[in-house]
Amino acid sequence: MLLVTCCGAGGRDGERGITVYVAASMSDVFKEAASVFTRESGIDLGLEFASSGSLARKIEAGAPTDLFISANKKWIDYLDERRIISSVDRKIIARNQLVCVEPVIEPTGITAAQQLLRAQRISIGDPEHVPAGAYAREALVHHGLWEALNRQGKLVFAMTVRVALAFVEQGEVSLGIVYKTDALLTDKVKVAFNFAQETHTPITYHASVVSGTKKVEDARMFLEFFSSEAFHSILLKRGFLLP
Amino acid sequence: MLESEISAIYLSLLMGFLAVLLCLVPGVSLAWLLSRRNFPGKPVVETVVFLPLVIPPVVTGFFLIRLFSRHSLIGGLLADMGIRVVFSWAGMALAAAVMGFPLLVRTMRGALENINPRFESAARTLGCSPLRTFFTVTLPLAWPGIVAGSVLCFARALGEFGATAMVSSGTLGNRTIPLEIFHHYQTPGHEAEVIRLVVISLLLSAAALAASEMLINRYGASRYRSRH
Repeated sequence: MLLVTCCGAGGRDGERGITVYVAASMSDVFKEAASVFTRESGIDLGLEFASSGSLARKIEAGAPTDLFISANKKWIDYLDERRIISSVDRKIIARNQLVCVEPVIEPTGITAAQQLLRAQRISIGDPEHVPAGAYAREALVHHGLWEALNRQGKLVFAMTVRVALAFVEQGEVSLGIVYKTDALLTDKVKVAFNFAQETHTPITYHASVVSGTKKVEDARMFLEFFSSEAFHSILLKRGFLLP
Repeated sequence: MLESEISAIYLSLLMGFLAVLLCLVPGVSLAWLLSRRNFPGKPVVETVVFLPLVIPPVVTGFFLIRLFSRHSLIGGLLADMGIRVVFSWAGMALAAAVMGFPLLVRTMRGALENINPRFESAARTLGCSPLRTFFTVTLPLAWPGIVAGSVLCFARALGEFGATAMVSSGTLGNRTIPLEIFHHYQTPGHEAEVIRLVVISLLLSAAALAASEMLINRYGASRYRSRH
């Protein structure tokens, strides 16, 4: 009797599950999306969140994952070139916006990019390795402000976009340039203004099935889910834009 | 070599020297006090002084930001005088000094405790004032410990990452060698820069050690030993 129950408990062949590597900035979206998807389809989702770059490095090294969501086109192209992800089962699933935020405790009165030179200090992610920082630099270059701000020593480069946000929260800098979705996470900052889409390369999130996965059909199902009403409403609720 | 690498080397050396400069007088004084005197609350002082040695550097950095932020008491006063600590060289030097202070005090205290108090008593009985005794008897005898303590402080400042990372603005000209290494480590394709800086960092530390050996041998009281 005991042996039978043990065997019964051990076998989980009836359960379907896939592993998904997700860019950190989408963690809240995916936690919610996962429960909706699992309820509808019966497919379990194992999620792992980290920066797009470190996830890409893991996948390149052969980590067992079925789907990859990158906040950076560069990393998914990197894997595509090496045939590690599928070029066919690949799509853009969301977009984000760049905003300039200020601390709620110390509003600056700045309402447009042109006025940024008035600021004391502006925090952005380090443009050389933080995607959000690279977009911020593009936007500042577009407005002709990059050289001046650099020369005046008014910029603070943070190790991640969340650290840039934290500086604004604490009032240690007057302004910060972060994703709109980050700004919505805390009530200690408010948006001073949005950066127009044309001031930077589009911030796009790419999803792709990993080559050689044994769960291709289930992975494709989840990929399909990203086009659904349910997923789109989760995106919009958290401040992301539709692809 | 990139401009940012050169500025990182310059900044690291500057921070190292500033850290020692900031720590020297208070460090020697405190080491002397802890080695020669007992007073109520001494264990508390000892604990506070040695705390940066055992807590994670980022925690020290966190406290520095809290203490010196524009919105704090001290930070606000300094800001009125035009001194910014967070995101400035002053803050980075302070972080390096705080991290190196316990090492300096500990080493110097050890050296001071090892001095036979009879030498100092002898000097006093012969009419030397306490201050003169300190400079002509105590200091030369403790010299190796003072140099070693300063070098440890300097080396600690050179290698300081956690606390410095929190108060640095991260831009070109504001990154020390460890920060510069980490910056290039995270940027794809910058392996050459990382290796270059790692090698330079090793050479600087070796040079600091060599300099300390030379200073100890040339100016220490060990010079006097052969006379007895």
